[in-house]
Amino acid sequence: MPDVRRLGWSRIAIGTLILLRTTPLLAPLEVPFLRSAYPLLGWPDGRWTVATLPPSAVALLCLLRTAAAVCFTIGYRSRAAGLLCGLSGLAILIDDPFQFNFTVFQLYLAAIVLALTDAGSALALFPTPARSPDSSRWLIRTFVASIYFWAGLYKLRPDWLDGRTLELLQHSGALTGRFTTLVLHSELLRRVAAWLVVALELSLAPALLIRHTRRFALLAAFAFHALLQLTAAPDFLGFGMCALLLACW
Amino acid sequence: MWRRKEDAKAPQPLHVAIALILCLLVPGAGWLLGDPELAWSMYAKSATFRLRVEAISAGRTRTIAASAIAQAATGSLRTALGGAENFKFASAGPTLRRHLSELTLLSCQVSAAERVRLTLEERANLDAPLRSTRKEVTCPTFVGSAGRASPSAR
Repeated sequence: MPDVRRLGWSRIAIGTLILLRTTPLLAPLEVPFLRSAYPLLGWPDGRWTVATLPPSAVALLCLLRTAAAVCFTIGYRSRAAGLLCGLSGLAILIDDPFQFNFTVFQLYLAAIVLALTDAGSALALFPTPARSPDSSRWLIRTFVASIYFWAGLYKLRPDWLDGRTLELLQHSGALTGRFTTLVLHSELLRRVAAWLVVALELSLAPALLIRHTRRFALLAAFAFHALLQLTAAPDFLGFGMCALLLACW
Repeated sequence: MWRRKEDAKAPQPLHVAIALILCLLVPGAGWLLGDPELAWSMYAKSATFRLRVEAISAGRTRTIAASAIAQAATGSLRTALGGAENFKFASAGPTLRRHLSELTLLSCQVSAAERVRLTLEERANLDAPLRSTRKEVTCPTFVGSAGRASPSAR
């Protein structure tokens, strides 16, 4: 598949995820973390908030974000649309930091990153001429690699490495399911799982950047996110990462 | 050979600048400033916090549950404050600390007290020492558009 088409697929996937995560499109499924997406994620409800922007401005930002996400997804002025979508979303998060959520943060940043690449040059309603597909893919790879690097680095602390944080996540209900119970049922297994996650994340970062190891790293990353999505169901974060990994292939 | 040449192409200056900002500066700043949210700390945090709200009127102090304060707040803040009268496994502690002054206004509004005292206790992880932050204010006569209940109304 040509490089720009992969970027185009990535743009469509990220745009679609933003729309699914910030609008009530999936409301019939009654997914708990999507309840806040009605009428739109971040829409002011008239109650007390730490936000400083007036409610009308926040509502306008929500509308802008949604309209821009639609344009970004279909490939209509992708660059401007992606930037507008990501920046308006970030403005809502910055204004009310209690709304911070890793999935939407990652999706907004992904929209900004893709908007600055040649992602609008393929699979778009109005494709733009490709300027630098290789540099575009380099940027996306670097962005994805940095997420793994920082995620792994944050886990280099005693209460993660000895498995206590995993135990806490398990008891809080963040990690559920038969597989998780089996894999994390003893202190030793929790410790092993904690070390494996750190080792994988810290090795994925350089492996994605080095050409010889990239394919293997991508396969490992897809498998990692599939496993996490099945066991921990971490919002849409895994889908967002996979959407970016598409462009790295 | 062609592949090698393609990979060897230098990235555009704009892409390098974006990479530096999003991959190094933003998460690095979060790391240095003690705000792990910006440093991709998802699903790995073990932070806990507890918020105590004390309302003082006519020399008497009563404790108000953070959940009661949460009822008057918008969705995102309601989630953060719900159940926070007891230690809560959530990462909102640093954000609450930064907005503790504003939260005193909400507490004044909910409690209709003369003074409120908020004490936030938090641990960054399971091994971190307990960090306590306290804010005490005299409630303004009228707070926000909702205002405070007048003494006669109480």
